[in-house]
Amino acid sequence: MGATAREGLSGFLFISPWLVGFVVFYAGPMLFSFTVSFTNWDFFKNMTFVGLRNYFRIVSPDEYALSGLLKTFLFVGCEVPLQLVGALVIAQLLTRKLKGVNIARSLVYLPAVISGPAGGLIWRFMLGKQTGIFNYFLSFFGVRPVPWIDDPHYALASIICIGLWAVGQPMILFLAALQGVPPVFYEAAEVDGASAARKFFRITLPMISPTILLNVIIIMINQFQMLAPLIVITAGGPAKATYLYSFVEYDNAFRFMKMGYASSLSWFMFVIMLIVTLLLFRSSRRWMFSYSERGDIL
Amino acid sequence: MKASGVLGGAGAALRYLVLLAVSVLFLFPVYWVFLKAINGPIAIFQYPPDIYPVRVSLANFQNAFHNFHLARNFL
Repeated sequence: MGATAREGLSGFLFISPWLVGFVVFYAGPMLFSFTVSFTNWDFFKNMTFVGLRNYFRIVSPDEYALSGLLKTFLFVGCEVPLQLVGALVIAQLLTRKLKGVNIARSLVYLPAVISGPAGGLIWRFMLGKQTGIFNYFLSFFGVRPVPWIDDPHYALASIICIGLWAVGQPMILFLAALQGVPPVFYEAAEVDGASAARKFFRITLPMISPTILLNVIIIMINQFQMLAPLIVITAGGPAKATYLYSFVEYDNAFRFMKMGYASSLSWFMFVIMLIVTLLLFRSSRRWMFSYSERGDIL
Repeated sequence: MKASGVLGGAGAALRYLVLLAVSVLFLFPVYWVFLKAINGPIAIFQYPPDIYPVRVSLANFQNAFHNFHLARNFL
C-alpha cells in the first residue's frame, strides 16, 4: 500500500468511532424512518408498503396535522422575533461593566439548563388558575383569576410568552457578538455626533448580522421541534388549542402507534424546515454584512 | 466600558433597574419551585400560596427518594 493510501486509511480509522456512531444513531435511523414513512407499520404488525398514502393523509382535512402546522407556524412566527429581540436587549444590557453583571448573565442562562419537562412543570404550577402564583399576584391588583393555560384563547399566547424564559442561549451568542464589535466605530460615530439609536441601527446591527442569522436559524429550528414543555404544560391545550405539529407527530407515533404516518409527518416537517432555512439564507445575502479581520467586506 | 455610556448617570441607574427586573423574572420560577419543595407536602395546593419558606420540611424530598425511587432513576 502506498504512503498516501496508508495515510488515508489511518485518517479513516481515526474517525471510525465517530463514523460508526453517526451511522448507527443518526444516518441509519433517518434512512429507516424514511423507509417506514412509505409503509403502514404499527410497531407490531409487519410493514406493508403503501406508497404515498401517508403523505396524502397529512393534507387530508380530517386529521389534526394541518391545523397543527398552522398553529406551529403561528407559534414560530411569534416566538422567533420575540426571542431575538429579548436576547438582544438583555445582551445589550449586559455589555457594560455594572456590578453583578456576571450574576445576571448566569441567571438568564439558568433556565436553558433546566430540562424541558421540569421547566414545563414549573410553569404549569405557576400559571394554574386556582393555585398559580401569577393569579395570586394579580389578585393584589384586584384582577380576577385569569385562565392562562386553561382557556383556549389564552393558552397559545401563554406558551409563546413562556418561551421567553429560554432566551439564555441566543443571549450568550449575542453577547459574544456585541463584544466583538471594534470600539473604533462607536468612537468615530460619537465624534461625528451620532445619537444612540443611530449607533445601534447603523453600527451594532450590521456588525452582528451574522450572529443574528445564526440565532434566527437556531431559534426557529428549536421552536419548530419544541415538544416537552408542551406535553407537560397543556397536554395539547384546552380543546386542542396548543396541539402543535410536533405534538401531532408524538401522538401518532407513541399513542396511536402509527409509526408509518408519524414518520411521514416528520419528513414533511423536515422538508418545510429545509425550505424555510434555505429561504432565510437566500434573503441573508441582502441584509447580512460580514466584516473580516483584514478589513474587507466579505 | 463605562457603566453609564450614552445616557450619563441616569442611564446607569436605568440599566441597573432593568437588569434587576430581568434577573428577578428569570430567577423567580426556580426560586418558587424550590419554595414548593421545601414547604412540605400540604402546602403544594394551598391557596393563597406562600411566598417565603413557612414551615421548612424535607418531607417532599423524602417522599421522592423513598416512594418514587429518585436515586435509582438517576442511574
